[in-house]
Amino acid sequence: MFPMVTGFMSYGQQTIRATRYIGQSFITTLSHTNRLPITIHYPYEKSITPERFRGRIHFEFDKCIACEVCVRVCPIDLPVVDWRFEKDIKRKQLLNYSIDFGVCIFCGNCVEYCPTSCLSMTEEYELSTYDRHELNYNQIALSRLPISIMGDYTIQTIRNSSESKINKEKSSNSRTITDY
Amino acid sequence: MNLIEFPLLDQTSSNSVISTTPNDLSNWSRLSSLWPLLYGTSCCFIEFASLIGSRFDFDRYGLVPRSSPRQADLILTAGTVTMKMAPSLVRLYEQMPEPKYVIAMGACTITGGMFSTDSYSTVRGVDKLIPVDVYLPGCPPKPEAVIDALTKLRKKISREIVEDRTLSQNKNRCFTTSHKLYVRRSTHTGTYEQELLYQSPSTLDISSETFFKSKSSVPSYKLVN
Repeated sequence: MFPMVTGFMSYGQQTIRATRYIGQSFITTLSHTNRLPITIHYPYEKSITPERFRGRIHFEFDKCIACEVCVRVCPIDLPVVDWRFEKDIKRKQLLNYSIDFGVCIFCGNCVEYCPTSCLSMTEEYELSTYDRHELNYNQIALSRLPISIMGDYTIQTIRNSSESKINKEKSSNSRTITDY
Repeated sequence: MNLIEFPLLDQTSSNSVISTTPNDLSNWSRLSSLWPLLYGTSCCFIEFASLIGSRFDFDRYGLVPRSSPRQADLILTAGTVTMKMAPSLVRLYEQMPEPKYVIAMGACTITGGMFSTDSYSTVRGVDKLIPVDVYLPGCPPKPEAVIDALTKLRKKISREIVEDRTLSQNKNRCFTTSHKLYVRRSTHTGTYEQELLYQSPSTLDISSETFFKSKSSVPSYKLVN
């Protein structure tokens, strides 16, 4: 008689435990129902690129002094700097400048080391073409300004969740500074 | 004729007629079900794999990842292709049924990228092995950029005419000039090595001889290209 009672008790305890576990897991599942879909519908919605995103390189022809530092710091010596020494002004004159984005690895060394900051990174990343020779950008193609995603009203921009968190932290920090 | 094929469209829009050619219809069906092969050799595949997930969901475009080349229409060459990987990539491409499309993803597969200057093993551009439709630069490109390349490929497919494709495929096989390589007899005969080996018991001598013979039998021109 006695072992039967303990058996029933343990069975009851097991049942309660099992129902609790099932309930817990269902709470986890049901908590996902009020989550919004996270898919970015790309051509219509674009996520804002991070602050220091390394996209296509922008080049300003008039600023360049043809020092070839970008070629020296490049891991593959990629930028082609075509210059001629002008004797009357005793200065190098830049004739042509090109970067092949089919080879470029977007490391940003050239941008980092450019002494006159004529190189800069843009947030343009849609560079795919049908012909690989089109990827060789000359100075005219490099000096084209990128179209801002924020300015295009047909595209919805989506802020990254981590970025907004950082911004929140920044704002809280600035608040403490102003309070001080 | 086509109204019979789309009974659902007929119900919703009663006064419209869809006119199309068989060519356009086949192109449309082809571009809306591009099944990519899960092919990745290095870091570009991380970006490609994020497309499978729900954030950049590429099932929206009818892309269902396939593990078998026999079921795939599209191959994204994600990652560096080495000389050793090249034959198997060509074999995977050959096994895919027609029509097949290639997107060269990342700098490594377009030109060799950062390995293009002084690497001994990297294939300088995957277009030397297989015909490439869209080149997608970046190291690695963003997942959005991959979708952009896909839309450009879809654009290309929607324009193409069936007869022209086979002609262009044979023409744009590779961009390089044909090298005048000729097969030479191997210089590695293995005889000079034996002088260096000190005179040893006969068993070692025989084993080294057979070893070199087996090595010299491998033709050297296989490794050149």
